[in-house]
Amino acid sequence: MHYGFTDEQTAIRDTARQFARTRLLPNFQALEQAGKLERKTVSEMGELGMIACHVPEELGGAGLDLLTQGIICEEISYGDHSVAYVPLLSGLVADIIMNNAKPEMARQWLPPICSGEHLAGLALTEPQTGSDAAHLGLRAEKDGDHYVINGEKTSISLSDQADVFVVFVRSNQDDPGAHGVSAFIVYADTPGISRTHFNDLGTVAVGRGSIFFDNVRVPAENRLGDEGKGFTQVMQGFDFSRAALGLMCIGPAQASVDETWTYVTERKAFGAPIVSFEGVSFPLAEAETMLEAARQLCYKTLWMRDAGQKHTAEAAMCKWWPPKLAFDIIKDCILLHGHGGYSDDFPHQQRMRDVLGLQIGDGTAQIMKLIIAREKVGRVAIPY
Amino acid sequence: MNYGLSEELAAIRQTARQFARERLLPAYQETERQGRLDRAVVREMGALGFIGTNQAERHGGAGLDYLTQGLICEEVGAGDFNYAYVPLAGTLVADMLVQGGRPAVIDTWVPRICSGEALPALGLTEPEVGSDAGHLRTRAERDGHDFIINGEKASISLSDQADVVALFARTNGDDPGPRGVSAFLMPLDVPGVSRTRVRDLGSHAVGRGSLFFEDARVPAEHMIGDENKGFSQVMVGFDFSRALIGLMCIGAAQASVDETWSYVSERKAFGSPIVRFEGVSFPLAEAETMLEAARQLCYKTLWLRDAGQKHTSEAAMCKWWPPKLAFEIIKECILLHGHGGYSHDYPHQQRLRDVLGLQIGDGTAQIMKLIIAREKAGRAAVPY
Repeated sequence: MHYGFTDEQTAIRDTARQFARTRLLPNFQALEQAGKLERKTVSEMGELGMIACHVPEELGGAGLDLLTQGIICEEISYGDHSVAYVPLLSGLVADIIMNNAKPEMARQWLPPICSGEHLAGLALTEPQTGSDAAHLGLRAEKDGDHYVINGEKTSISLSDQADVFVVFVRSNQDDPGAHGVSAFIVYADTPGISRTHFNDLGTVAVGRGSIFFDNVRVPAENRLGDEGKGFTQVMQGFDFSRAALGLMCIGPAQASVDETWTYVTERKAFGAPIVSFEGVSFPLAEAETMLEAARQLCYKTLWMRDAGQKHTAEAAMCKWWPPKLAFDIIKDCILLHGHGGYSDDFPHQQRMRDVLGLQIGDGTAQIMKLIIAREKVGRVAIPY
Repeated sequence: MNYGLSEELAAIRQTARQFARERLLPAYQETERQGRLDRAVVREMGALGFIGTNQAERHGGAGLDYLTQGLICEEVGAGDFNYAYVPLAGTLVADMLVQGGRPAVIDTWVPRICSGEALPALGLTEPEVGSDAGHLRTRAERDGHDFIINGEKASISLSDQADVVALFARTNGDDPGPRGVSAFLMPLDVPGVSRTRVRDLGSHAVGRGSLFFEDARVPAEHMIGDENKGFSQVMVGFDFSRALIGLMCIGAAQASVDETWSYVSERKAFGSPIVRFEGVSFPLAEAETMLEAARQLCYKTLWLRDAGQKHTSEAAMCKWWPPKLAFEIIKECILLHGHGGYSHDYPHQQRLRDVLGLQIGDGTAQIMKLIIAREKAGRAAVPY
């Protein structure tokens, strides 16, 4: 067993850390005010090889591994959780393309994603189907060498900022379940697409909203994998992204914890720095312990994926626990700042609002726990 | 032992519940946008006997007891958490006056507070002293029939809406500790008082901010308790108010839980209402259990107060646990609403933001746990 990074991973971590703390962290609250990501920052990340870093170099990537991608997500999110949606979503979409697209299409689609020129999103959820994704309703009807898409996707991260989406559609209207679903690459500037932006509690710079499809014509060559294989083939690739997602919640929690250690070492009460009180130092010590344990769980999951091993249960663990843990820890950091912590003078309230979203998106805790149960004891654990 | 409500008490609770559901709940989110309480609603609460419920009728109260005041705070909190600050602050300040104020001041001000005509604030915290309140710095210097007040109070709820403040100031400049502190009832419409409002995460309708005193005058006969006895005489009366805080948080959490039971009984996935899934029903069942246990703890504390028994430790338990529990439960309710729960379409995100403030105000969890330890093991448990 070996728990250390390679020299290359260490170097990349240091680069990402430097970038996050000098370029992202000072801008964290201002970016929320602005309400959208800065494309220039995204391009810089692309140039540094931090987006979809596991894509081979000949396709525009950095030719690294998924564990490194997770490390990047963690370091970026320390500076700004919302900005980490870029390596998260672009990494996932790039992976889907690499595993399911025709090579000539992958060569076309991947380089702009890796460079940051294109932001990528994932369109699965609909108003009537969140957890029950296999019963989605967005319709795709074949028409010559195109498909015509009609319906609505909702709760889509980067709804009005992404340039390209992986969209899951029902291509077989006679099959209401998973085998009637196909996946497509759809560019946001295709005629017939309109998008909205919700008024959310957090991750304001990412934005969440609906995508409406009104007779949107998509080339058949944009289909990922075979017809009817959107669920069984494409979605199997999601597991690793749950570990990256866990790490991008651990990052902001660690940032708040680090800042809180500093605060409580300076703030005085009763004639001493308040860190000398166990009621203050104990929660921070507990947080450090939990974050390190959660971090190792996520790293191990990515290592398993890189080694070609099944990691479905581990990925589900990475999705339900670290985001929840991060939220609880950041909330404790707010409280440890006393009367000042509640206001927007400090970034903690924003980090808390931001990380809450990822307890919902990409799979609820309930589904994750059912997955863990199913991996352990089989379908009997599934009450449907 | 008797855990049942008398007929009179049941009727009062029903009145409060109806008021909260019909007058407060529908306006909950709009009131946040307004950023202030509606004084007409406050006066209605006064007319219904919700403010200073336990004060004598000759003082404008309802002549009932602390436990009844607690039931009312709980029901009001379920409608609009922020309006529960009115009986909370009102009955606390009224209590302080009745215990330690001059008769003329009691006769003038307690009825005004109980009727809802006057909103009180509690002026204890300062920028440099939160938990270490005994070392506060706001100065009160005698000048003829008045005291002249100089200094700043910070993190004051209802900072820019209150008509009067129960102000703690240093009357003995030679003693920097609690024995140099006096309490005053200070009207806020006098020269030399200015006020600010902080931009907070929640409780926008209550508002929080600073009170600046620049040679502001308060009549000497407005002193509460004896000179330099503000801490030993006046603040000991605070204990019961912590049970009120616990109950208003429990009320808000119960509202979210009730609404969530309804939601999950209608929302379908995988062919049936999602309440059928244990991952959904279990957290709600856990929440109901914890809320009932917390509720009984708060009721018992108020019963001890009514019976004239010491309840310092129980009050500290009511202050650190139920607000934390309420926050966590409301957060679970957000998550149980799936992709919709994160947005402002639902009140849960507001309740979450609102209740967090009371994990800080009126005493941090750290101080509360030290109080519990001190009540159990003596001053050795207190590291200052």
